[in-house]
Amino acid sequence: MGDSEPDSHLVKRVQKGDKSAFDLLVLKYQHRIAKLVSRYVRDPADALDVTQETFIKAYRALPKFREDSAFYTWLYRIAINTAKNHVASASREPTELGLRNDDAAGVELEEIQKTIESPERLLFTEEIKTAILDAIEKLPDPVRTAITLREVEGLTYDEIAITMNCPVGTVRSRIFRARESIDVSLKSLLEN
Amino acid sequence: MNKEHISAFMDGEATTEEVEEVIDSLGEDPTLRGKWSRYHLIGEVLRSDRFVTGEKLETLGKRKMLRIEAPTRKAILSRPAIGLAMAASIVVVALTVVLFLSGAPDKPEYLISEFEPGDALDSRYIDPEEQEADQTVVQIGKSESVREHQLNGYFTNYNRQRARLGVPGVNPYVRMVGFDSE
Repeated sequence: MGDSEPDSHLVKRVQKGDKSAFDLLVLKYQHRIAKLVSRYVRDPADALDVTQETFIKAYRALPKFREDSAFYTWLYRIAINTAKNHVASASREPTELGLRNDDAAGVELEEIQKTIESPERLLFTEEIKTAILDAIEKLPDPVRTAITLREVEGLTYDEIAITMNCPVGTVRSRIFRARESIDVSLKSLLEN
Repeated sequence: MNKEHISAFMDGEATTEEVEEVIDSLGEDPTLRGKWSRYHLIGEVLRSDRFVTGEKLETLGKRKMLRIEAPTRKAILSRPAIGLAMAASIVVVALTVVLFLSGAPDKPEYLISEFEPGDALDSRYIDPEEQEADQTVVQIGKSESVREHQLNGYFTNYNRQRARLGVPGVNPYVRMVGFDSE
């Protein structure tokens, strides 16, 4: 099972009319898209706007998405085009942004704005990085190894099980424990 | 719901039943959606810091190195086949360089005459005049026509010898009609 499989499930749900499934895609990819956009758009607030616009365009185009490519590849292209258009239009009219609240996009924009996080959190600050890395340091060795192999190396549970010489169920459990432990630190940081 | 299913789902490792359950639960519960978001944020941070050198990441890096440890130089050299192959490669390269530096640009004729196949034959069967003529031609230069002439000289010598032994030779670049009969 690969990384694209959850996306495929969520895309199918959205295409059947489940808007909350799109929220999950936004929550999953907002950081990656914001980071990508910020390579083109320097201002964090503008980067947030372009990120939002990317997701609105994706949401509108999703009924036509036939999964010829992975969802993220498709989303990536939208983000790049949106960012480039923004840069081009900003050079002509610096204050002009591609989104307005007074048209049909207004409702969608509002919903996506609610889902997308603040620019600071979106472009994860050093503080967030430090919190996560500190939390990882405190994990028991097998748990830390499991999450590293999964998140950094991109290994499947089967591959991790072979590497660590343990059952797949143990790998699954260790990765969950790692995420939960890190989440405790991260949550408290983000809430404060 | 079991939160472990969320973790498995985001890794593409959840069962079909778990997938439906997770999507439904995440759609209904904002707390779980927050968790979903933070779980992904953790992954993004870990991947984004992959190439950053820092005290904390060095620790992670060391762990990775332990797992996918590259073979050391000593380990490579300790394998007989690899060591032998490397030694042979070095000898070939060294020989090529020495040959190139010592003669190729200035004295191509040396190399050519050194490997003149006719030299391997019994000198009694080589026409001294033709041999001298060949050497003279070789001294002229390294043009294509000289090389061809030299090669033909070799074939001529070779065929002459083969004919004397009563064995068919090979065709040279130039025709040798009636060579033996003349």
